[in-house]
Amino acid sequence: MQTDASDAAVIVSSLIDGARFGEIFDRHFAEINRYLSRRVGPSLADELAAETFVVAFRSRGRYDPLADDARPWLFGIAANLARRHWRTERRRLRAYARTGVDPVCDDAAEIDRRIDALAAGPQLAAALASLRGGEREVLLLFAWADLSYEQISAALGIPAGTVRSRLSRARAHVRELLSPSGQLSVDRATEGGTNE
Amino acid sequence: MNDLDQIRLFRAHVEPPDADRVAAARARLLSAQYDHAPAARRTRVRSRPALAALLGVPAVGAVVVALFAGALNGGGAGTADAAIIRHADAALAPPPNEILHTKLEGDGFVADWWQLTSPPYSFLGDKGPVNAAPEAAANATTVSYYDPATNTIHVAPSAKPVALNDPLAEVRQALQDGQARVLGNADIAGVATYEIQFADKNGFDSQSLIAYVDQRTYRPIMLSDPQRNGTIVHLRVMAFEYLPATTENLRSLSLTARHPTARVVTDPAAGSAGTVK
Repeated sequence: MQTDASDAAVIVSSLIDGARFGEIFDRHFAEINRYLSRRVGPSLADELAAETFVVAFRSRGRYDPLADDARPWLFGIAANLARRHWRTERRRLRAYARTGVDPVCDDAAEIDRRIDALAAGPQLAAALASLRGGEREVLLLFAWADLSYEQISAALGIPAGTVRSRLSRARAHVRELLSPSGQLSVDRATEGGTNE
Repeated sequence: MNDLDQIRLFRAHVEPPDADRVAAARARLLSAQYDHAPAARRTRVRSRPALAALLGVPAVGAVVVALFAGALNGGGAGTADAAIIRHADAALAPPPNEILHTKLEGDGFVADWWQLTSPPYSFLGDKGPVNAAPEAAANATTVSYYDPATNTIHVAPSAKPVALNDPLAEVRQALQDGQARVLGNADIAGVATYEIQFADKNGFDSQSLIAYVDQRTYRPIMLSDPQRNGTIVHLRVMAFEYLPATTENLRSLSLTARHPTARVVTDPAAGSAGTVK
């Protein structure tokens, strides 16, 4: 049953009645799954998104009852789980950069459509693959999850200033690789990238 | 198209999970719910969420308010504007060891909140749709909520530190960070106010939050929060007051004082290391 109660109210009440946590799942599963799909592909995303809500349920006693919106908390858990698969993520980005075929998408017609829609896709994949793990994480939470600096700070447990500096560095790096004068070969660009 | 636009477009068309995939994930959650797994330890303190999230305002149509925009100042932040912002910041600064009471209303939403301004920041409040906002409370050792259907107060242990939930903290921070500018004067339901706009992550734009502060007290009268769908959520600040922490006022932080006939159910396990009922 969906209610109009805030996420915080639902999570607090789920401390008493665990079944109520299903409402948090109903509200946010699709968004978390989609975010993870964009990062690591649908198959692994299904696994990680399901695990995100299991971890969230088990740790709901730590939830800040003042935080009405559970998205930063859930995205933080999802990001932590995805971090264990950063090699997979980078491998997929590199594959896209080199072949122009996005392995995250299984549908050939859809692939063609997307390549048309985003001619810079391979270059962007190369740029994302070459980012440090922490910078890529902040950038994608900002761009794809639409979290604010403060929400990313809360999600990842890092200072807001660090969020700002990582985001700034990541965007500068992406801009450099996408700009006409800064274009590197795909192979060279994808050689970089760490998970620091 | 800038770099952020390109990143947002990248893989933008990933399909949402179908019903089977959702059902599989739900089954895992259900399994966990009936598994007697201990909850994790409490450690991390989260920072406050952004204002919109903090207020939990639904993006629906605007309430009817008497809003007559006055003449705009039409130019950068001068000395007078800086003084206005400084006064507004001072008016919002919470004094220690008192009880902050805030009440915001608008668009069918209400937030009525009492909270200590110093540790342990015990609070009691309800936040949500009018007539359906759940009452919750917390202190250094417990969280609790009131179930009106059964006239029961449910209490669970919690070692989670409570932070001050000042709904105008983001406004104050923006004032201190220089991320605010005075747009002009406005008459809000007969009260002369200054109209102050706050930068968001995109700077000052059509979606920037605007606060209207009383020209006499510099206390906020109304917040206008433009939504992505083009509507504007107006929140009237019905109360913004600091109360001395007297015995009587401290009762405003107690669910049992507010509902003296309610049954109190304490779950010694949930929330710390117990089982799920």
